[in-house]
Parts: sequence; structure tokens; C-alpha cells
Amino acid sequence: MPYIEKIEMKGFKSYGNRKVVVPLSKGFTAIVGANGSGKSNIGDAVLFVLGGLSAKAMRATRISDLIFAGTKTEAPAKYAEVAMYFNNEDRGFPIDEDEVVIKRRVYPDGRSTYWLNGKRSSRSDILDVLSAAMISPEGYNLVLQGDITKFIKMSPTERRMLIDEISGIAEYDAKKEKALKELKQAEENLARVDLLIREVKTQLDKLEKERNDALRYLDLKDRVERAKVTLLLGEIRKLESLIEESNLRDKEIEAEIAAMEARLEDIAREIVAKEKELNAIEKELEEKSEDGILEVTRKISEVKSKIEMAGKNIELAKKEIEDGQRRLAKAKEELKKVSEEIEKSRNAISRWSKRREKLKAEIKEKEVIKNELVVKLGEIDRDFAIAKQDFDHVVEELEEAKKELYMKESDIKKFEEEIERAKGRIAQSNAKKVALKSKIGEAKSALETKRSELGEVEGRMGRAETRLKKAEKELEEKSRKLKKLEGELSKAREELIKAEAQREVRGNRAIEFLKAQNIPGLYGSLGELITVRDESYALAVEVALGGSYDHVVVEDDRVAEKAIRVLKEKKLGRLTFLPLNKIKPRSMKGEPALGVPALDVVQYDPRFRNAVAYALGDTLIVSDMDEARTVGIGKVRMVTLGGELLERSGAITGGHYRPRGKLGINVDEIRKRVEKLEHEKEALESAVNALRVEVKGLQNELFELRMKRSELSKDLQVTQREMERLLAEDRALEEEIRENEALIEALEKKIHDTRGEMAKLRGRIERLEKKRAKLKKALENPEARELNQRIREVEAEISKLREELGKVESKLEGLDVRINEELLPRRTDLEEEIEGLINRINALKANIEENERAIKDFEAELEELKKAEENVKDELKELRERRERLRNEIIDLRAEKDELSSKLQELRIEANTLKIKLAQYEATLKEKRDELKHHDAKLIKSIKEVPLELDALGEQIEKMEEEIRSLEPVNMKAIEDFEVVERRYLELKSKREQVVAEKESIEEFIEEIEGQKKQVFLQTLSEIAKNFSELFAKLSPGGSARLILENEDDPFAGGLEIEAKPAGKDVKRIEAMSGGEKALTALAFVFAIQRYKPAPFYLFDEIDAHLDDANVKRVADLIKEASQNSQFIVVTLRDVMMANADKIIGVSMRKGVSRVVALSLEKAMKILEEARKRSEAEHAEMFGHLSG
Amino acid sequence: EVFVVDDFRVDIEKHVYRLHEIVVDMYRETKEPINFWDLVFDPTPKIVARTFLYLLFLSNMGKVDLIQEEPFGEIFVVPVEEA
Repeated sequence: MPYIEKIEMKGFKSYGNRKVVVPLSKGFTAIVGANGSGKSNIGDAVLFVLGGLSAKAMRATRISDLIFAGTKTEAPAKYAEVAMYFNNEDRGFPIDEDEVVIKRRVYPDGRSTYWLNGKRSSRSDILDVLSAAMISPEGYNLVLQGDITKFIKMSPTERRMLIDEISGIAEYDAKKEKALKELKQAEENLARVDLLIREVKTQLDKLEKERNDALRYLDLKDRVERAKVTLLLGEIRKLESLIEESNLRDKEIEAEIAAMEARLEDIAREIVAKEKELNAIEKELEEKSEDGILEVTRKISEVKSKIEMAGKNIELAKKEIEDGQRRLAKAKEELKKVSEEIEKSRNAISRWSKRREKLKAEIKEKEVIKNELVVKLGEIDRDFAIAKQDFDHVVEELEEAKKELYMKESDIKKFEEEIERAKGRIAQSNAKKVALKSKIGEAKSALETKRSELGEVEGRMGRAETRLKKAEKELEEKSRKLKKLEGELSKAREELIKAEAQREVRGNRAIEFLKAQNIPGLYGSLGELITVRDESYALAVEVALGGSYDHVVVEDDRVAEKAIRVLKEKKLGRLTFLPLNKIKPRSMKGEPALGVPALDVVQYDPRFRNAVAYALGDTLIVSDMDEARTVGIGKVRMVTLGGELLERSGAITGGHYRPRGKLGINVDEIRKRVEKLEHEKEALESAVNALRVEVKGLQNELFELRMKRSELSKDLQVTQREMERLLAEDRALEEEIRENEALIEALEKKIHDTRGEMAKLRGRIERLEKKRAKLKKALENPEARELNQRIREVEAEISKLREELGKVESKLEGLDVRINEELLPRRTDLEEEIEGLINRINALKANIEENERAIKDFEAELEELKKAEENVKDELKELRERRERLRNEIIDLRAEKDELSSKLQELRIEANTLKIKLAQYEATLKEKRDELKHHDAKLIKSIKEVPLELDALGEQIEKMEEEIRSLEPVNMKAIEDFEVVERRYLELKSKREQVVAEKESIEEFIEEIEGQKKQVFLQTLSEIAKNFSELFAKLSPGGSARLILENEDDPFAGGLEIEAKPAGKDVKRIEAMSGGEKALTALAFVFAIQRYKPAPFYLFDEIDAHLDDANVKRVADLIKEASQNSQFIVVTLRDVMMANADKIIGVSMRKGVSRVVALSLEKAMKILEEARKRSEAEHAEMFGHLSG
Repeated sequence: EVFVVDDFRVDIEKHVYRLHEIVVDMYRETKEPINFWDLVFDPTPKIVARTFLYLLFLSNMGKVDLIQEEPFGEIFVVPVEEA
């Protein structure tokens, strides 16, 4: 490996005008000196001579600043020059010299000149020589001042590229470059071939299509011919079979028609029979439903109401019985009371009678005494006797009066009691009346309700009857109309069938088709548009029309043109059109005396006048040839009624003429009419049905209403009777009240009278008492008085007794009266009443029984009636069912008839159609046979099988012909041309394959190179990474660091990261490391590379600035170790570093010029050892205090 | 040792002047250029390097002249007469 032996500087930076030599050797050289003495200028000089271009890298503004600027004592240099002497003994430089000298000189104008071994050279040559020895001014081996961290600062990619460079993979890149060029060439070739292939292919495709078309054309021609013949044969066969089939079918149809007609007749007969039966049933049904059922139901309702009445009667009677029994009980009680009272009174009478007897005996006794006394007194005084007589008389009278008064009083009491009783009766009656009143009210309102219900029912009945009447009338009307309409319809249908058949036979299909197109302004054939009023002219007019019959009347020439286009398109034949805006009417010259102008006997829409006149305007209708002759044959166009046509030219046409049919018959119109009639019929039928339903509904309603009415009238009757009964009772009560009131009045009057009498009596009694007192005075005589006294005493006793007797007697009398006049009659009354009540109750019970019996009878009757009703209903139901059945049968028959009719018509039409078709078939058959003759007989013979699907065959032929047409024009030459071009195409194809193979092999080669490149790179990296980790561990004991690829799979796509972990610290991001750590990491990286692939020399400028002594020592040791393989030039200020160097270059500046002093430390050590022995003591004395 | 290094760094000027005094004294005695080796009191690489460095500093300061005839030849130190 080459190394720098020395550097010579002249006029370079601070080194002045004299040549300065910096001696260098293998191993470790330190460059030392004070700051600013020019140490780093040596490093700059190295960069300069190696061809560095960056002034900045050499710490200058411009490259010319590198020239010594001069001092006070020394002039500036004219140029700066640095020469570097390399030892080339091992031929590291590709130059066959032991020493390689590179010299560079720069002039103030910035121009540089280079010398290689004394010969002028160019910078690029110098750089080439240097790079051959792996030296570059930008190399990683040159670490300038403060630049150690560049390995840290550089991007991962730059770092990776550094490894690229070291691993020498540039060689692979060059190979790849070359291969890529080849690839490009191959691709261009391929593109060219592809282009050619494309062109040839286009040509080939076109030719292929033409060739295929040509082959196809030939094939198709053959096949079409064959198919055509086959088709003809097939058509002939088909026609033959069709003719045969049609004949058969025709016969069949005739047979069917005959059968159907027979069946139709049968059906008609059957319908008539069924309808007759139906009418009979309906009549019966009407009768039965009208009379039978109504009568029965009326009876039922009567019986029911009777039953109800009886029930009500029973109820009433029961109520009455209850009432009577209550009354009876009351009467019996009263009777008991009265009897008791009588008993009591009789007892009292007997008691009182005894008392009276006793009193009478006492009175008699006393009177005897008194009489004795009176006699005595009379003896005493006669006058007195008279007085006494008077007095006695008065007393007697008085007593009488008093007695009478008592009587009256008891009378009054009696009367008052009687009044009380009467009042009680009145109150009773009134209470009964009130009860009755409410009953009457109820009955009234019930009556009212029933009446109004009845009224309503009757009203509804009336309404229903009128409605029924109306509906029936309407039904009759509609049925009549329907019958009429049916007649019309069947006539119209017949007409339609006839017209259709006619049209089928004679009609012009072209016209029909045109009409079906609905072209506006196309009116139809002239024949359709004309009608003949008088049937006798019909034939004449038809003959007169002749060919014009089928001329089509159109609005204008445009319509005609349109129609003609349609006819052409559809190949429907030809027609003559009469455009109304163009057609010129024909006319006769002068009116002939005989005959009728044809125009006068026809009817038409005035719009079509010109068209009609064009056909008939010049034609005269005459009765016969004679008349024609009279008019003059040839004078005018004439037609006889018999159908002979005499043209003006004199030509006469005649013979048998089969009329075409009625003129002016437009099938469509008839069809429309038929449709309209059918609609009307349908409408009418539905109306009739609706009416029938309505009538039925109304009849039912009426029936129900009648039932209801009869029920209601029964109810009404019952209610009315009940009402009458209640009213009678009310009246009776009223009478009773009135009687009692009269009684009360009479009694009151009696009381009044008695009271008056009593007052009179009292006055009399008073007067009598006064008289008695006066008389008593007169009787006063001592003896007499005594006697009188005695008498009076006796008399008083007597009178007292008498009074008592009177009282007793009046009481007796009162009792007697009460018994005889009151109690006994009352008892008789009561007894009578009781008897009456019992009788009544018995009567009522009998009544109830009777009614119950009646109810039983009625129920039996009702049962019977119901049975009867049921029978009638069943009968009716059966009748209705029969009616329904018959109707359905008739409907079925009619339907069958209609169906048969329509089938018959269809068959007729079919028969007609068949005949037409047969003719057509035969004509076509002939045509086809003729056509067959034109084809090759061999071909015809060769065809054995004829397919049945002729349509498909026809379609095939058409398709094939279409294809043939589409193939034309055909390039027959294409068949040969195609083969030529195809050969060319195949050649090109094989060539393309060759080119592709070539291209692929180049691609494979490139891939291989890439693989090798990657392998080499990875190998290098792994070595360097290993070194790095080891060296870092050495520099930072306890720490670790790794190199990591950013992209493991494709290293060249990413960079190279440094991951460092200084001792005792976590993994640090590089940016966050201290200066010293950074420097250590960077140095580990540099040494890792150096260990793998050492550079010839290393220049480190103050890499140890930030390191402490321990680290500097480690670095210095490393440098020492590495310096065995490479030359190390280290600028330093650190004694530890210096101490490790083999040689030390000292730089000092004297008067602005740097000087160099070189010291070999190895040599120094030997010298010093001797000197130490010499003057150890002296030195120890001088520096003793520094040692340690 | 760390302390010493620090001391060396801090007192570098002191050491340099001391060396200068020695050089001046030796020159006054002999009036002859002083051999570098005579200035190295301890023959360890570190002391040699340090002494060499101090001399370079003195030369740079214009206090001494360093004279070497050929590369790696003997180095003589002559103090500069101050005006």
C-alpha cells in the first residue's frame, strides 16, 4: 500500500516563499503546534494536492487565497505549490515507479496546474491515478478540523453509499448498465417485430375473412339451389296434401252443417215445448202464491190473534177472580163483623129489655105508691088534684119530648155513620177509578201505536203495490222490446253472415286489407258506398258499375299514393283509386226521353258525388233491349234491367250475370249494427232481469206486509175490546160514586131535618119544664107539700126510672133499628154480595176453562193451518224449482242454439274459404310444377327427403340468399393470397419468439448481477458492522453500537442507520449525544471501515478536541494499532495523543511564516535514555515537582 | 491523574514560561544553542511530547528559535534576545 513520504509546500498559505518539507513516514505521525501556527494548513495542503476544488474545505474563500499573502518582511508568493511524494514500492499506483510525485500549483488568477512525476498532467488524470490507489480528496480517510461528526451527520443513504463504494459494487453497476443497454436494444427489436406482425396480421385477417366469405359463398350457392328445389318439392307435396285435406274437410263440413241444422230444428221445438211448460208453471205458481198461501197465512194470523185474545181473556178473568176474591174476603170479614154486631146488639137488646121490664115493674110499683099518695093528696086538695093532673100531664109530655129528642139524636148518629160508610165507598171507587184511568191510558196509547203501525203498514203496502204495478208494467214493456230486439238482432246477424260470406267469396282482399289499415281519407270501394233504393234496379246498376265496383274512393291523390305504396309493399295486387279532389264526373249529353239515368236510382253520401258520377253519370237504365233500341244504341251508355250493357261504342255485353250481391253493403257497418244491437239486447236483458228481481222482491215484501197487517188488526181488536171493558167498569164506578153521593146528600138532609126537629123539641122541653116548675109551685101545700114532696120524690124516682126507661127504650129501639134497618140489611147485602162474588168467580173460572179449551182448539187449528201453509210453501218451492229448472234448460237450449248457429255460420264461412283456398292451391300447384321443370333434373332426383317444415326451409333459403347478397362482391383470389400471407405471418411469429428469448436471458442476467451486488454489499456491511460493534465497545467500554439497514430486503432502497449505546446509558439518538460521544461513534465507524479495507493513509485533524484524556488514550491506542496497516497523520494538541505517535511534526509560526520541526519519538526515546543517565540528578532538581 | 491533566491545562502558560526561564538560564550559562534533549527531564513519551509542544509554543510566541538542520535531526533551542 502506498504511503506519503513527504509533502513539499511553497507559497502555500502560511508557509512562506521558501520550500517547506514536511517529512512523513509509515505509521503514526502527529502534527502539533500552537493554535494558529499553521498545523491545519498541512491538512489543507494534502487536500489541495489531491485535487480538492472546494476552497471552503481548505478554509479559504477562494482557491487563490491559498497563495502565501506575504508579511512585513516577506513578499507575497507568486503562486502556491504543493508536491506530495508517495511511496509506490508495492505499486499501489498503476505506475511503474517506486515513487509517485503529484504536484499542484495554483496562480492568483485561480488557475491550477498539475504534475505527475514531473510531467504536466490534467486534474482528471491525477484523480484517475489517485482513485486507482483508492485515494480521493473527498475520501472518508480525510477528517478535517471539526469534521469528525460528518459520519454522524451524513444521511443514512449517504452512509450506505459509503459502504457501496467500499464494497466496490460499482463494477456490478457498470455490468448492469451494459446489460440494460442490451435489453433496450432487444426491446426495440421486439417492438419492430411486433409492428411487422401487426401489419401482416391485419392483412391476414382481412384475407382470411375474404377467403372464408368466398368459400362460404360457394357453399351457400350450392345449398340454396338444393334448398330451393327441396322447397318446391315440399310445396308441391304440401299443396297436394292440402288439396286432399281441403276436399275431405269440405265434405266433413257439409255433413256437419246438415247435422247442425237438424239439431237446431230439434232445439227450437224443444224450446217451444219448454216455454209452454214454463208458462203453465208460472201461472200455477202465481195462483198458488196469490191465494193459497195468503189465505192460509191470514187464517193463521186470525187464529193466532184469537189465541192471544183468549189468553188475554184468561188473564183478565184471573185478574178479576183475584179482585173478586179479595172483595169476597173483605165482604166476608165485614159480614163476620156485622153478624157479631148483630149478636152483640141482640144481647144488648135482651139485656136492655130485662132492664126495661125491671124498670117498668119499678115504675109500676112507684106509681102505685104515688097513686096512693096522690089519692091521699087528692083527698087533700081537689085543686091540687087538677094541678096535679096538669102537672102530670106536663111531665108526661116532657118525657115524651125528651124521649123523642133522644131518638133524634140516635137517628143523627146513625145517619152520620151511614154517611161515613158511603164516603168510604166513594173513596174506594175513586181509588179504583184512578187505577182504571192509568190502565185506560195504557190501552189508549197501545191502541194509538197499533193504529199508527197499521197505518204505516198499509201505507207501505200501498206504495209497494204501486211500485209492483209499475215494475210489472215496465217489465212487460221491456220484455216486448227485448223480443223485438232479438228478432232484429238475429236478422242482422244473418245479414252480417251473408255479407261476410259474400265478401269472402267476391270481396277484394286488397280493399279489405287497406280498410283494415285505417288510412284516413280512404272510404272504401264504390260498390260499398252506393245503395239502390228500388231492388229492381240493382242488377242494372251493378252491371253499369262493372269494373268500377271495386274502385276505391279516397279523399285525395295523396291518400291514393299512400294506399298504393302499401299495396306495393305487401304485394297485394293493383287497385284503381278515385280521388275526390281529382276525379271528373261523367255526364250524359242531354236527357234522353226514355229510361232512367243510373245516377237517379242510387243513393250515396253527397261527398262521393263525383266518384259516383264518374262511374254512372253517363249511363241510362232502360227496361229492355227494345227500349234501348228506341233510345238508340250507341247514343248513350245503357243498361237494361236484365243486365245487358250497351256501350256508347255500340258494343253490347250480355248473357247470364251472377250478381255480386247487394250494393252498398258495408260489412263493417252491419257488424257495427249487430254489435250495437247486441249491446242494446244485453242492456235490455239486464234491465229485464233487474225488473224481475224487483218484482219478486216487491211481491215478497207485499206478502210480508199483509201478514203484518192482519196481525196488527187482530191486536187492535183485542186492545179495543179491553178498552171497552175498562170504560164500562169506569162508568159503573162513576155510577156507584154518584149513588153514594146522593145517599150522603139525602142523609145530610135528614140530619139537618132531625136537628131542626130536635131544636123544636128542646124548646118544647124548656117550655114544659117551666110549666112544670109553675105547676109545682101551685102544688105547694104543706101537707100537700109533704105529700107532694113524697109524690115528687116518688115521681122523681118514677121520672128518673122513666127517664132511664126512656133511655133504655130508645137504646133498645136504636139497637132494634140498627139491627133491623141496618145490620140485617147490610148482612143480607153482604151475603148477597158474597154469593154474587162466588158466582162471578165461578163464572170466571168457567170462562177461563172455556178459553183454555178454545185456545187448545185454536192451537190445533193453528197446527193444521201451519201444516197447510207448509204444504203450500213446499208446493210453491217445488213449482219454483221446476220453473228455475225449466228456465235454465231453456237458457241452455238457447245457448246451445246460439252456439250451434254461430258454429254453423263459422262452418259456412269455412266452407266458402275452403273453396277459395282450393282454387288457389290448385293454381299454385300448377305454378310450382312449372317452376320445378326449370331446375336440374339430376338434382331433383337426388333429393330423397323433403322436410315437413317448409316455412323453416323458406326462411333458411331467404337467410342464405341474404347472406349471399351480403357476401357479394366475393374475392375468389383471396383463397390463394391467404396462404402466402399466412406463411409470412408464421415466420414473423417465430422470429418474435427468438427476440423474446433473448430479452428474457438479458433480464435474467441483470437479475443475477443484482443478486451478486447485493450479496457483496451485504458481506461487506456485515464485516464492517461487526468491526463497528467491536470497536465501539473498545472505545466506550460497557457500551454497544450497531449498524442497521433501513431496508433489510432491498438495502439499496434505504440507508444505513447507526444505533449507539454509550456505557451506562440507554440507546441514544445520535443527535442527542455529546460531542465526545459523537466523535467516538464516528471514529468507531471510520476504524471499522479501516479494519475491513484500509485506505493508504488517514488524515485526522483534531479529532480529540472533545475527548477526555482516557478516551484520547483509547483513540490513540486504536490509531497506534491501525497504523500498522495504514499511514496515520493526526493533527492534535493533546499530549496523550502525541505520546502515542511514532513521529511528531511540530509547527510554529515565526514572523507570520510557519516553520516545521520534525521529531522521531522512537529515536528520541533512545537518546533520552542516555541523556537521562547522564544528567538525571540535574533534571530531577529542575522538574522534580512536575513528575508523577 | 485527572487533576494533573487539569492542572497542566490550566497552568499551561506557567509551564511554558518556566521552560522559557530554563532555556534562558541555560543559554546564559553556556551561550550555546541548547539541545532539545537537554530540556527533557523525564524520558517518557508524554514528557517528551509535552516539552516539544511547550517549545513550539515559545517559538510561536517569538521567545525561542528552534533550529533543525534536517528532518528528524537534532533540534537546538536558542532564546531570542529581547530588545
